[in-house]
Amino acid sequence: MPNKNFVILIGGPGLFIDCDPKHDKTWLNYIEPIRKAADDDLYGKAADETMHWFVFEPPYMNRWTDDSEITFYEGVEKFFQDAELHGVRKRAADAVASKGATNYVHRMQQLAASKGIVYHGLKAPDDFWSGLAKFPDGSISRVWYSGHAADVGLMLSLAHDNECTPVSTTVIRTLDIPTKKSMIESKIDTSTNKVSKFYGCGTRSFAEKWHQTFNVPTAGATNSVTFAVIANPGNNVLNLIENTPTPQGPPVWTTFP
Amino acid sequence: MDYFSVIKRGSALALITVLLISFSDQQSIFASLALVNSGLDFPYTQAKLVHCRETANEPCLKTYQRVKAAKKSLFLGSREQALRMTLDTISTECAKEQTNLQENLACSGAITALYFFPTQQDDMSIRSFLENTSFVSLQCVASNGSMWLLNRENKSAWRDWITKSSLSTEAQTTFLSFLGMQSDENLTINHLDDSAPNK
Repeated sequence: MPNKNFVILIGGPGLFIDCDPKHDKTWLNYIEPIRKAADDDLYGKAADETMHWFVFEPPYMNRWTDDSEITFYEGVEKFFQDAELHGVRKRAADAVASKGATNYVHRMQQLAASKGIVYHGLKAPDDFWSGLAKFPDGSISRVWYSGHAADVGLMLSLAHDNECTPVSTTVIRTLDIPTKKSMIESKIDTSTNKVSKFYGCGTRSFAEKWHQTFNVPTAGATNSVTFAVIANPGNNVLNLIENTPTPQGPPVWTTFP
Repeated sequence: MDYFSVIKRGSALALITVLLISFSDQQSIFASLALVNSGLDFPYTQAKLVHCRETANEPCLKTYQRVKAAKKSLFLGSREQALRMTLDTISTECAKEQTNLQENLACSGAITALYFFPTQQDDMSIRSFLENTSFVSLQCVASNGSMWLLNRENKSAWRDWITKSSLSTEAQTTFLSFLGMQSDENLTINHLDDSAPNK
């Protein structure tokens, strides 16, 4: 009988724009590794664990609006540049629609339902903490994350400022973790040996603080990781994210303790 | 032709232009400082900055230089002027309904900039501002990350103020938690100015 809860927080993509072709060519970046891991039985799910996807929805809704239609301006622009850019976006949206989904969020809800995973839609970063607080005491066996991140914390969405610098205004900050201790501590199963894993760039500091605060095993990347591995994921997509080097070197996947 | 009236209109337009430019510059300074807590590529720690240099990570180094330049611009005038500009920006940018990313970043960047004003004299100005600012601005300061509270010379005075403030119980708890933490010397925010340390 399941009485433990395994939570995966899934951050969202930014818009795919021509001044920053490096990030988020596909909307699938952060959901696909988690979906593939479920299909390939990489969660190591215990019989008593219930799976939960906590999906930060606003960026997926924005991305759908941007991807699903090629605007008149984009249509004109397409003749001169970025034909591939707009084509990739539109094809992704069409592929989702062909599966009977009305948008990306609906598609993720379909995927979760098909795998017996409980889907939770988050509207604001604090919904993560309040969502964890709703679980019974001692029932959270582990927490994973997939999405944009940096040493400052987990970046649930990505935008670009006036200079096309990638920024996030929806950050779950590493510094915030100790301030949530009284709210969350009783919910965490501290007797577990299940590792809380944070898949994103520079998540090592978040993993370390999570470990220090809640006294559970954690893991994260010291440097950048690449989600581009989802194009050729093989039979262990998580292993690829943990180990595939980027131009900034290997991710240096680190565990605590 | 009434030349005097034309000159008067011209002068007024010039003044408005100057004011608009300086307002825009001010917003730009704080939007850049927001990259400390919002920039995907900002090297949050000195170790990360070293790694960025070793790997010639251009986006990282560019973001770092941008934040450094913004701090320098903030302190072009006197320290008092810099603090006044910071508090004015919180008052204007955080209180209004933000309609674009730049306004959002200017608000959070101004709150981040409070980190640069840790002395007891600074604290008196900041507390006086918080006591007199709008409820919206106060809530915004409370909910926009409280890294600046790590860098206070007199933490006990802040503890007293917080417990007596009109902040919500939740915000008070969060503020007090931040006050209980130590600032990490390894944070890059402590090393943005080669000549004058923040602490």
